Amino acid sequence: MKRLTKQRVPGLPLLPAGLHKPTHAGPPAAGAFQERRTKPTAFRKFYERGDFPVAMEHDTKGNRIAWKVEIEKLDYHHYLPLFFDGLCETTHPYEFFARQGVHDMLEHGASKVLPVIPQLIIPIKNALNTRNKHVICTTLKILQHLVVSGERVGEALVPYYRQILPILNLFKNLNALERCLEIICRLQPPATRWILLSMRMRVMLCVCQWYNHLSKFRRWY
Amino acid sequence: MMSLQDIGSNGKEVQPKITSRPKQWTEEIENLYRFQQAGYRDELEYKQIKQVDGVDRWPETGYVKKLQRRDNTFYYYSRKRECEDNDVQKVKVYAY
Repeated sequence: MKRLTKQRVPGLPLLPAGLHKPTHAGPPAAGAFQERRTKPTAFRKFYERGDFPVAMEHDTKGNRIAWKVEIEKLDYHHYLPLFFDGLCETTHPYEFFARQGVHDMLEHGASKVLPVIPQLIIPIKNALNTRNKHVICTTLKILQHLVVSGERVGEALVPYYRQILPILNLFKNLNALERCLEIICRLQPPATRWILLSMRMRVMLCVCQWYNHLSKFRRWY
Repeated sequence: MMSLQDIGSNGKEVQPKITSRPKQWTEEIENLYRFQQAGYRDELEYKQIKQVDGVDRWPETGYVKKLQRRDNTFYYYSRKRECEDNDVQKVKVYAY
């Protein structure tokens, strides 16, 4: 039996020699799920300069942050966005300090977190746009913590849904979406939670599609 | 056996004489775990060394919230349980 030669077009089933072979290739991959490399973050620069009041302590359970200054005395407008910026990091110790630092600051921030919400949106968006599953999971856990960190924080995030949520459409078939839905549910009062959830997700999808169509029209003009 | 609250009223440092290892987790074990993570035997030693009257605690659970270590850095603890079942036997219970 003759060996079937490899086709020029990858992905198509092998055909016996002599049959007509397609010469045109399909559309190139869009790379929607490819991880995006991020430039060095401001968090890394500040950490290497020694500007953060943190130190790492090793114990039997792993690593822990020892704060050189009380968290209650920190300027949240300065430090919290920087720590959120470090969520894009994937290497040790930057990843550890950013993640654990954010959790500590949210846990002990109380009313100091709410005024800083607008400054956190861009770092959250950048972290989700990396398409790195580990970074996305970490960011979603932090979003979970953020919405329960203080009063009215969930409501303060509503105007920024259109910046944060669209990226999650890429992962709708993965378990990450369940965590996203869980986060969104926490943002609203229990009585209207599920109704608003389905409405908002549909609205977000419609908004994204509308933006796509609008961009096509703008190219024509 | 004398309790921790009866000791220290004269301001003198007291040394524990007997230690034991717990077998089950309790809220007291959780707080002891947190003090020992920060490098102290228990609440009494922390108050003696740091010269403070009270310790920051979570209002909902009563667990220790913040401790200052001997090098003056701060350890912060969660409002939930941190001492796992595997860590219970590592906690030392001091008796005076």
